[in-house]
Amino acid sequence: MDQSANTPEPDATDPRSTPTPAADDLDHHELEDEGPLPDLDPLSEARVRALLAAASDPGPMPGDVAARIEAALAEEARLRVDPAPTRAIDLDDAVLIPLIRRRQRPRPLLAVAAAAAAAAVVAVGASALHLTKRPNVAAALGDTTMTATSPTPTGSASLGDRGATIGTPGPVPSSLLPTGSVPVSPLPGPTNANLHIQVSATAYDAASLPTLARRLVSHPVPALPPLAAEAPHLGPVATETGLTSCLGALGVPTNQPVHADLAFFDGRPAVVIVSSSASGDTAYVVGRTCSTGDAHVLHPATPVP
Amino acid sequence: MDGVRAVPLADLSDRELLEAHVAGEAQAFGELFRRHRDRMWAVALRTCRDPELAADAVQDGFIAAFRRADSFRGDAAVTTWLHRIVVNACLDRLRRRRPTSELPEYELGDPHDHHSSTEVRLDVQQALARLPEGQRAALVLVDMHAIPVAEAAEILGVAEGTIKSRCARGRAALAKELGLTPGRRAAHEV
Repeated sequence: MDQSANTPEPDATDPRSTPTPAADDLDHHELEDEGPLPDLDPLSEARVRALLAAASDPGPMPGDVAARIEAALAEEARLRVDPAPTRAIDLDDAVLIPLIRRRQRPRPLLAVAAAAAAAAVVAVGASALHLTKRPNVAAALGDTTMTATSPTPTGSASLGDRGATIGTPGPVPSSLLPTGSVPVSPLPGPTNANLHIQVSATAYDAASLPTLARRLVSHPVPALPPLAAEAPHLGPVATETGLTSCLGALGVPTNQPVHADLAFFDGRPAVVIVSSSASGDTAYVVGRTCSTGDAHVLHPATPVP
Repeated sequence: MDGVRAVPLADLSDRELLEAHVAGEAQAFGELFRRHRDRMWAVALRTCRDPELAADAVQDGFIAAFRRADSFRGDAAVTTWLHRIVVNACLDRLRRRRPTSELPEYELGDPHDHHSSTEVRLDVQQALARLPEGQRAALVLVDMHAIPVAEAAEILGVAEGTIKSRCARGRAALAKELGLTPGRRAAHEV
């Protein structure tokens, strides 16, 4: 049975390290789904379902696993939060959360004007929050999406299922701008369209490299925003300039498509780079310090089938 | 005007928590994790059948969700979205592992079960482990976690009909394996 007609396209914005099984492993699933449907009698089917439903629950997540994941999330949060001096408004749960609740309550009409003004202030504050939640370098460089006039997801964030919003896209008087969210000059966009840089949690190893490298080319996740690439934990190779230096060290030309995935190789932070040329695709695995003079090669160049 | 009172995170819906996280609320995602970790662990363990692999997959999934929360489009429940991320992380891990090693036979049975009951459950787990991963994933969601077919289809990124056919094939294979079809003995007894 061919499922491809009914299979949704992979969603590039879906937060997965790899595409959907349907898109990614179609051949496998086609084989799995082939042949006529079995004719299982209702009684046997019910018994199987009952056995499955009665299968013992694995129980709660073990404490060590929970602690490990909480630590990983805390690290993510640490990298996200910036205690930089640009921080102007502190929207912690003493401020932000009450706003959610207040928006959920019926308010007298006379309060509408005041609420609109508050919404504008919160829009700016949320924008400032967005700014200050970024790594220092990004905050220092600024981002056009962080200005109060920009209809960013943060600026228009909906808080709650009842349509409450804490931000309103649109111009905000400069007098309302917090010190940390002054409009900044737009940063230059990518200058080399051949380079695609992404971050994933993919764990590559020698055996899986050819397959996963092919997947990197055929189903890349959204590219890392230029400012996010400045995050210190990613390393210089996360930036276009840094990647170009790394490619130079590897002897890989930059006038052909290159996909770089900041991921892991044999459990270590690494960058998997796939260079596409007329003669085929080649995968390189380097450390995140890869740069001019030292490519920090972790694995030999591998042809990608 | 209403007084300003903090609302405990525990009182927020999943969607509100996710939106608060996107807006920069530092504790919101932690609350989501605490709220759903056991369920995600159960799904991951049943899908991966290996605690180490399941732990890695759940961590992959929650980290991915943390980083890309702003891509949540709100057209599905947050739990569906999390399931989708975690199950796909499991399937990714399984595919990476397959070329070099077989899955271990992890004991999922309750050690306090009566012997015969434990035997049956072990048989079920072992038979389940032998199914193709798509069928196993569908049965884990639909029959073991009572997730509706439509939601399972959303989680696995396939059509509802595909979930139904995978469940049907999986159940038939299990019935045969366990000797539940009329006049048959368990496959491993033949």
